[in-house]
Amino acid sequence: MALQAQTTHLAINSLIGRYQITDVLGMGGFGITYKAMDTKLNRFVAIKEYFPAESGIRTDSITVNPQQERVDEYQKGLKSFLAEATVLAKFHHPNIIGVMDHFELNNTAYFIMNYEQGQTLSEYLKQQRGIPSEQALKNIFKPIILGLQHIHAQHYYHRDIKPNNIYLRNQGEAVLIDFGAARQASSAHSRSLTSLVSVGYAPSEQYGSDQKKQGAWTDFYAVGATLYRCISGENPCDAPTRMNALFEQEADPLVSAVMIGKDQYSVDFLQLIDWMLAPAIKNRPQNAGEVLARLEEPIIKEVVEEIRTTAVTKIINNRKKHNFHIEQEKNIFKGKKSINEKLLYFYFKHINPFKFIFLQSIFYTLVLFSIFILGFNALNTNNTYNKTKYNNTAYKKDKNNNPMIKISKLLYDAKDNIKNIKLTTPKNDNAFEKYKEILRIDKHNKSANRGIKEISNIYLSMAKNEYYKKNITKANKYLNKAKAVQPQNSKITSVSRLIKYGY
Amino acid sequence: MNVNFVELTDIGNRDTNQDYFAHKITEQWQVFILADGLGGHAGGERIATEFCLNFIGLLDDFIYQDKQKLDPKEALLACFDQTLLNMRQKFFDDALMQQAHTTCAIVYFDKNTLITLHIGDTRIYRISPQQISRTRDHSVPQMLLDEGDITEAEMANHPDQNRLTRSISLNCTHRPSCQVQAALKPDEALILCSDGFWSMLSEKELQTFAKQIPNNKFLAQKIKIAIKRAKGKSDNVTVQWIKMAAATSPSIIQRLFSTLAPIK
Repeated sequence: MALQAQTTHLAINSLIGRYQITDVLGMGGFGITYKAMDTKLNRFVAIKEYFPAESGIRTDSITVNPQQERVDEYQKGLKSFLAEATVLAKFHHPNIIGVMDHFELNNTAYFIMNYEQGQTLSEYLKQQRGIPSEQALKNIFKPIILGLQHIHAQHYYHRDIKPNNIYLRNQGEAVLIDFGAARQASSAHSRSLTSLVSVGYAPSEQYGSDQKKQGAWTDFYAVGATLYRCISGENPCDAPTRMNALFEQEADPLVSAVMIGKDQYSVDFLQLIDWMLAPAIKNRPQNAGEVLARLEEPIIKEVVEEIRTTAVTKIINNRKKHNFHIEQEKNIFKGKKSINEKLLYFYFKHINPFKFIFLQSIFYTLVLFSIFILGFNALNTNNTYNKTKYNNTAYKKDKNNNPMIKISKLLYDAKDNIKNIKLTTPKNDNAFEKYKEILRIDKHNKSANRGIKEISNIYLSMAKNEYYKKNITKANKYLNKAKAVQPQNSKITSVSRLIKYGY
Repeated sequence: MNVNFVELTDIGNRDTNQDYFAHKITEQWQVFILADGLGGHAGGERIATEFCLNFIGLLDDFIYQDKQKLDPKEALLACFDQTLLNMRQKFFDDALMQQAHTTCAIVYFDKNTLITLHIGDTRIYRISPQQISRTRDHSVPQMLLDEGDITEAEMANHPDQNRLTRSISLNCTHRPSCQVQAALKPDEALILCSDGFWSMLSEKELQTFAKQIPNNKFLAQKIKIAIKRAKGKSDNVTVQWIKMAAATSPSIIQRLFSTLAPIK
């Protein structure tokens, strides 16, 4: 196979139709974006040129030709490039890049877009000291979701959202650029590493060629990953690695947003990111409305409210079956303001007090009956065997010391501790000690080993996080903690190298 | 420890053979390695060769440190990292090597344990007369299989078969999957093979490898079948077939004699 051609852009000042190239804005795997002067209208525009790095080659300084053996691939890509332009031209939305014109020339194709001053999100992140605030992120992403809502309604998807493809205007809102449709056309020519997707930002369904599985959820995963990059300072782990780990029942290599952004962002916001980053399609938001609702309102209150209201409607439905005077009740019910008041009202008004007493009496008779039987038994056994008392206590002791029960209890508590980020502190109530205790009972307990690895990984990602925020001392502190928890963790070397040498 | 093994490679219908294999056998432990350069990137042949040779060359230093035997899993992973580091230094100005990719499958075994290490879709099969197990590929079809979208049989002919999710390259930092398993039994066979082989043979056919002592004739026959089934489009086919020699312990009669000896 021949050496791949170097991506070479058009020379500055060369003319494409009536547009004169003035600057190169960006080069991607499938095209080059230029800043150009419209010589007729005397204003700046942005031009995107179809130039696939893998199958295209520039023969003279302007014309683009397909590489040998890759003509089909090149032509297919060109078609979908033009299709993208026509679709984009249909959209008129402030948060979607507007296409003014498109044409074929020099054996390739171009489309002309509005030029606006600003910078991409990735440039913005590089300039920022530290991580952006929650409000700043919400200001950037709310318009983006609105833009997505607009295109999703027409069954069109961006398919390549990442910090590089979100453009922040100097004046005005963020805008989505560089749609990923051209990527879909290229099929795997021969065995290769999947280079068609943006690693870390593309969900697993984008790695295959089956487009039926892609939908709004595909874009939301990418939005989630982009947000994750913003709050953590590092590129999210790629989807296939996550799928592989999940299949092998290992801990998710992507530390959850809730964990990594703790104390810096609201829990609601972090939970939204985790929701979008769910590996399974079903577990992600299905439409933009769901995301917008959560961006605007805190999640927890909403969910709790929902659970409460469904509980109340259930009671009402049950009453319907028993032919109560619902209408009358509903009117009184409307007068009650808070949910608590409503629930209390229902409890005292509708749960029949007589029925309640009846149930209670049954319960008490059962208790009395059982006490009677137990007592009788005890008397009986005491008379016959003297040892029973001793045996009884022995049995009780045994029940407390049953290792299986103890382990499962400890595991449950440890998981709870991890959720509350009690990893190695405070003393006597942290996940690490609990896992160690499990290992004392059962040396080869897999869940405990996995848990310890998880703790160590959490510390490592915290260390990385601190490193990107340039708190080297804190980063080292977390690194040492990770070492103390699990010295044989293979990731330690790479993180310590990162902190020491910066790569 | 006596090991029987056969290694064969065939160019198939390609212009170059981008597969490479190597092994290292000592009295205590054995390592077999097979790498398959990716045709979709340039220089696959070279990186496969370089990786195998460098890895085998470094092994001794990592398995023994200060004359002490290290935990083999740690040693293998460290050796893997060091191999890549060395190659990065060696080829830092080599444009061809910078964009080359390869898969690899490595198996280590001794008296107590068996360790597999792999990246990509080069497979290690562990075959006993009763069952067959394999390493899980880093590829799109494997992902679809995990999600339950396709079946094992559909994997070999899937349109996305050429799409890998992990590979070895000088710029990439994909981690290998590493598994520690129980020691190899005398009735079990190990097969390391490139995708040109496994995509053309069924599991039932692979099962027959457990019943034979590794021999050239049988393996050559199977490779021929694999190439024939590809109908003129065969990829390179490479197989390493390993089995423990059964008669390492003294036979029952020998043991009987040795117990009778003192009575004489």
